[in-house]
Amino acid sequence: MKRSLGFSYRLLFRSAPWAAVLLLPATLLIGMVPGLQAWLITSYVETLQAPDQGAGGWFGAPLAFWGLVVVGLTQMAVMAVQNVILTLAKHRVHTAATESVLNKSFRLSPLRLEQDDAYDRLGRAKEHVQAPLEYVRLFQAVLTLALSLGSFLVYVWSLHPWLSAAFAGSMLVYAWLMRAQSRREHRLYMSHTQREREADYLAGILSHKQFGKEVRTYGNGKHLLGVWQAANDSMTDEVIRVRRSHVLRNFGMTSAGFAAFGLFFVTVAYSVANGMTTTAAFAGLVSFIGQLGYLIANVGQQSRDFQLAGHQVEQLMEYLDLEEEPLLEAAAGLMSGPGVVELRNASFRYPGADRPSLSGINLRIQPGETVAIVGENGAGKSTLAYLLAGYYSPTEGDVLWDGMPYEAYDPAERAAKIGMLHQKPIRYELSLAENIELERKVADDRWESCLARHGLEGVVQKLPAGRDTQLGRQFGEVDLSGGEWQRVAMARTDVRDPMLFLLDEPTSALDPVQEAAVLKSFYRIAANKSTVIISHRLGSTKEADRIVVLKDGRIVESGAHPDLMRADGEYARLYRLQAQWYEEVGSV
Amino acid sequence: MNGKRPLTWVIRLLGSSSPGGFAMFTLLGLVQAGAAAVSLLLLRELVDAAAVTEGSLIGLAVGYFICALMVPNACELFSGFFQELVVRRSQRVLMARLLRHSASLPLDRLEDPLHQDLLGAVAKSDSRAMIHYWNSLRDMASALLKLITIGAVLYSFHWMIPLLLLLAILPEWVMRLRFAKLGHRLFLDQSALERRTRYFADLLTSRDSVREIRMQRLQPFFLRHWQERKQAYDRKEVQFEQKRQLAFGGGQLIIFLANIAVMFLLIRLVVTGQSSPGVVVSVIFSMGQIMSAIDAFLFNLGVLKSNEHAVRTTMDFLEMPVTESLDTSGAAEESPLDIRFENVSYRYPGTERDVLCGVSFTLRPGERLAVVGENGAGKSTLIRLLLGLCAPTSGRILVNGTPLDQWDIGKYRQRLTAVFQDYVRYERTARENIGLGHVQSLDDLALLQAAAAASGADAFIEEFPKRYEQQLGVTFAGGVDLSGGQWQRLAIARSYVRPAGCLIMDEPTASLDPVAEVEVYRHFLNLAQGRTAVLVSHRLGSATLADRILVLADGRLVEEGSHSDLMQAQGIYEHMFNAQAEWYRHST
Repeated sequence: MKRSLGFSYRLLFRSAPWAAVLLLPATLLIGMVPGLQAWLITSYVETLQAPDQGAGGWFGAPLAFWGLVVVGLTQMAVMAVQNVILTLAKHRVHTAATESVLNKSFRLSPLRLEQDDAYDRLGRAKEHVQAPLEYVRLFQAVLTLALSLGSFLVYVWSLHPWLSAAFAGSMLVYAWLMRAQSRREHRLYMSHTQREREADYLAGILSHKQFGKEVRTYGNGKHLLGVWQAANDSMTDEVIRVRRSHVLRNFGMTSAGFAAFGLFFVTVAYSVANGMTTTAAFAGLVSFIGQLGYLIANVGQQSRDFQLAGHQVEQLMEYLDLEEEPLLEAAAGLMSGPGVVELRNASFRYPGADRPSLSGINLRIQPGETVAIVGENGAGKSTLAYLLAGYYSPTEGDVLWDGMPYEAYDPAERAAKIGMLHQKPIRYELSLAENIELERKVADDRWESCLARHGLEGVVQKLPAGRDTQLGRQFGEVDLSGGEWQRVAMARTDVRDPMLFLLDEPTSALDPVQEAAVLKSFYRIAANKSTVIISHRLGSTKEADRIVVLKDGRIVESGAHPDLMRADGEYARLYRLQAQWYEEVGSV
Repeated sequence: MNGKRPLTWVIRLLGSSSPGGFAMFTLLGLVQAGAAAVSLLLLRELVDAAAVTEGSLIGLAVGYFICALMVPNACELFSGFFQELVVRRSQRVLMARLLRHSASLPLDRLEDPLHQDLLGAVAKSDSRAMIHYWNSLRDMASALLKLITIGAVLYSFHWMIPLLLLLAILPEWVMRLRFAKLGHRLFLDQSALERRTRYFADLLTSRDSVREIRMQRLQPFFLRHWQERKQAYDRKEVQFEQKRQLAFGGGQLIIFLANIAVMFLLIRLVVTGQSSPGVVVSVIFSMGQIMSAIDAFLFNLGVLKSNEHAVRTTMDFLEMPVTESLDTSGAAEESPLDIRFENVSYRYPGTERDVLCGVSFTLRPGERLAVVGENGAGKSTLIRLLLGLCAPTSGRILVNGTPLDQWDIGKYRQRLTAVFQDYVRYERTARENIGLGHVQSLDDLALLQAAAAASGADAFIEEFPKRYEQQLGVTFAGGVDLSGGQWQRLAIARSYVRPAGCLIMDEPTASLDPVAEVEVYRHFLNLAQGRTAVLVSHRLGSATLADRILVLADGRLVEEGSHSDLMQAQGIYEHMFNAQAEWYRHST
């Protein structure tokens, strides 16, 4: 708890220091009010019961009355201020927490974030960005309650020590009970999380549109509903059972506590009846009982909420505690001119995999050369591209540019000089211009030539606001076709004029006409750049300068298309498999 | 909007799912209100020690103790429990109803973007919205009861007291209502901004986009986008909060001043002997009760509208017409079908263009049909109409001579099986991924294995540690991630496990490499023996497998015939075929 609290307060200090500073005194003030009030009421009643009622004081009312007024006003003002502070701080803290989470993702190594446990933690952290402020607020609330109860204890002690002791004792027992219960409930909820997620997933199948076709075509809705109901029922029954036992135990304990307390209270009443205690003192005590009921009802709820918020903060911290990628010494090398890209004896294994995805890869790409990488799915083609892009580091061997390992170059330099078109490029819900230019606008002439190279002039013309049209259906009204998006993504990669161009399966989702257009653009660009194209459609890779065949993570063949066909090896086999549809039948 | 009132509906739902809990929950709230009033009366008696005898004093003390402390505590505890009981039980009922309804909606309703928000809101809500609605009502009634009873007690002390307090409440009341409306409007205004903010946060953290963004080092760019929008959002929220706090502060001050006026009045009365200290103390403590009761009443009045809105939304959802039925999923049948499209046109709801225009063709039993065309030509829509997932906007479809709209759609679908281009990846076991195609076969391992063998999925399933019981997908613990091609093979197996007379395949090989692609088409040919088969593909090579080819362009059927016929015709088909075959020609 201390860690979570420290974390939350530090976050608050960072984002809204004045809030952090003002909250504590506010809490103290509010906490002391019940005690003050009880004392003032006692003195007030005493004055009223005195023979010379109301003599003295101001404007015909005893001082104690005005004291009560001041206390009441102060309480109101402080509470209002506290509310305002919390609301203002809420947004700041929320923003600061979210920023921490977002920034953290950048500092993790790419492979780390791709692992499930890290990704799960990220998901949970995102859910709980509101938790730190809630935790602080609840801590303040609990502190206030504790102070109020404490001030009550002090007041009662002055009347009757035994009463105070009995009260303190029963409070402690109650607090301990609450703690044990909330822990048990928390364990139950945690055990349910997995099952709840499964139930939610099943519910999603029945209600989300992406599953709609299959649910209706296969008629599996009834079955899935049954599975959902079974999961839900078992969880519901467990929760109700636990809560019932807790409520009964709670009731028993609090009743016992109150009965004990009540006994002493009656004793005091007795002593009042015998004139041994003043009625004024009794009035103060009695009046406080009412407040006590309210306080106790709150303690249970507040401490439960407090525990819950604590757990949420912990989940946020779990993500922020992940180990980061060590920052390398400022690598400042610049990549000058098109260079030779080389993989030397490179191997790569994903963490936790029992086999390497790539083994002993030796590959040299001369400046301006177009290399195609082919092979069955799962052969490691995309991984190879990531190594060439410098996104992953090989687990063995090196990736070199002009003889120097990638690590020697400034990462920003690498990102600028190596462009990659991913398998499913992101379709940003931004304008067309932003989708291509991203973070830095380009000169007009470069923009025009880029559009021309990728056949996008027509697209710009048909858009209502030209290059500034918001694309995508979430925030805009226009969407492009698959082929058009693919060309936009290519333009995006190309607009910065990279020296090494990597394309990962650029046409798998396209129809023949779109595919042809994309490939034509590609070969136009590839003419004077070092390019690597990955594809399993062997027809599109035929024109490359060199074709590299991957099988089970190793290079098994390499050469130009005519040579490989003559060699009649793996490549020839794969090529003929695909071409058979077009060659057997052929055109008339 | 429907005629039923939300109140009746909610009472019926909550009351029927847990009658005992519901009654107790409601009752306890009201009992608490009564106890508060009684305790005030007892308080006055106690302070004035009017009843001088020992016995009656102690009796009063015990009575007060019970009313002010034990009864509220018990009510609070049990009320909380019964509330949870009712929530869980009614959630079970309501959720099942909602899911059943969702799964029974016509497909175009499910996918309609206008309805997505409605569906989203409903799917996310559980019956908590219902219980909050009832809660608001109950708390309002309880608060009102408290105000009335305490008001009566105060009236018995002096008639001016309740009057003054009532007048004091009015400004606060008006203020709250006004701000509830303003708050709702702010919420609506902000929701678009909130979505955009969330979009950027998701871009930076979701698995699909992180890779590309990191490689291009775009994190700062998108972080800035997020920051800008978040700050704009926060600014508006804070402005509103400040206004609200100010207004509320003013209202609270007025009430407080009224309280002081009342107290002052009482002091005068005590001094002139018209009242007693007991009254004064009682009134002081009633203030607290009154303030919290007013607070509760106004707060719940404010949220009542939004809670009622949530209830109405759910009611409206359940009123949406259903065309599917979860219950007619019987065993699949192999009997042949003769399907005829007569001048069929289709337009998606809310759009202005026909996606299919006047398409007519006949599908004879045992025939193999290929449907080709560019992306967006209407191929997938044709499949939907064929499966009865949507109804033609004009024209008709005849199955075995009878119009499709006269068929029991469930029984019709028993004779069809399909694999979709956007097949589902069920994050469940391998067995379920196959078996959900025909739930009657879920436990028939031999059948599932045969289907897996036919699609080539058995190879990788056998490698899993748990084989067919292996959890798939990364969302749940112990799940194994699969490649696109592997998921596709499972989807194909899913369609194979269903022994139907007509087999429909929509782009079944997009994610597959050449070797796997050949396998799929080979199995397709096998299975299509003696059955009707429809193959949609833009890989025209595969169209050569069909007896007859339908060519769609812009929603119209432009060419029809066998492969050799169409090649001779030198129309669109020939043009597309050559565009693809180009890449494979000129080879040695």
